[in-house]
Amino acid sequence: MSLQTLIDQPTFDALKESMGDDFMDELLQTYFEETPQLLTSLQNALAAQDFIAFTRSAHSIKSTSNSFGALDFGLLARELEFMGKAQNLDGAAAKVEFLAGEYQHVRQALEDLAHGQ
Amino acid sequence: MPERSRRDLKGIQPQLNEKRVLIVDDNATNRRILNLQLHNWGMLTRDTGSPAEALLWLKRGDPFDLAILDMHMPEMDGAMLAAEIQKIRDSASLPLVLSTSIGRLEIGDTGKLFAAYLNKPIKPSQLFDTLAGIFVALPTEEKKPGIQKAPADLEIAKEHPLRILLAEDILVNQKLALRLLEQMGYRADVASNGIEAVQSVERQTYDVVLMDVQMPEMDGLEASRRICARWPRGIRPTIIAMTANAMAGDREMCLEAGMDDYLSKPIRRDELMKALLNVSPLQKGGK
Repeated sequence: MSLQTLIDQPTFDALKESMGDDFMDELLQTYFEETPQLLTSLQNALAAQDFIAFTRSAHSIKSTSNSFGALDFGLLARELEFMGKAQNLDGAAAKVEFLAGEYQHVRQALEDLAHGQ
Repeated sequence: MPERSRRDLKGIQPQLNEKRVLIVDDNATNRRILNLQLHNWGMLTRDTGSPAEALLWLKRGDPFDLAILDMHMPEMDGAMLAAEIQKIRDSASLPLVLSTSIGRLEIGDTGKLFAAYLNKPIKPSQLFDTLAGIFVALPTEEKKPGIQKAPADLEIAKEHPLRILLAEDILVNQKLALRLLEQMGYRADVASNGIEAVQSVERQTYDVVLMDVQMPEMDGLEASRRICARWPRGIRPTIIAMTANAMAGDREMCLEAGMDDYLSKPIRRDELMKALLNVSPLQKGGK
């Protein structure tokens, strides 16, 4: 199982257009620094069964990923956000692990796009 | 578009997810069917049987990404309503779709009023292709060479100066918002949670707070409640919510907490600009 579409090109292009090329690079770097931290927060929140922190971390991953066009990845995060909201994290561990794994592919795809491949 | 199973039209569709649709049709059953289908794809809908009510929503600035209008309505038909809507919102920011049970030729010349037409009974596949086609086409249109980004953007801050506080904990979102503001000539102070936001408003006068809803320590809703409890309207800053939520009731939740306006993420420059232009700066001595 893996995501069918990593990055929605029109969304990515629209953001790049509105941010400008140089700033888009900076924004991507920030995303690459921040997302692993958010994934860690998500894992910690899961371990602690902290629904509020879990929901918030998933929400943030969803929000920033959608901005770059990582829409399917964003949907996964949204699913976790809803589980957090419903205060039921049964089965969340596998999904969190999958999300963390998929992030590597999202990152690669974003880097490729940014460098025009 | 990617080759994701194109004919799998069950459940959330990324192309349409979280897009806000206005449905105007006097037939309640038609509205209900459209609502169900669009919800199923993740879209956020609001519907009315009254063209007058739809115009009211648009005039007061309620945000929509698309409107589906029925042709045959008693007080005002779909084409007349479209002409009225275009006096308020241009077709790039709010594409209009006409649904009709008669052929397109019989409607007569509607010029450039509609981005697309739907023939009733509306099949899900036709509906999906039409809507997805519109949203895919939108960003490309903006990029046509020759159409420059509004060059006067930088002047906005000069003509309409504002003291802005951005309350947002996520760095990517902070940078993105600051960049959009910078492109309009604005600068902003940054608070990274609700407590800091309230403290900043205590210390300094701001005309507007761009308030993220999900923040650690204290969320944007609670921060807004506190600001509104301490300072009356006219003294306190205008509070504009920013959220990437998917729930239909989010806007209402923000307004109930005392916020004045609502932007959904990812923040778009035209929507941000519009919201900021709606803000009345406070008197010099204000909060």
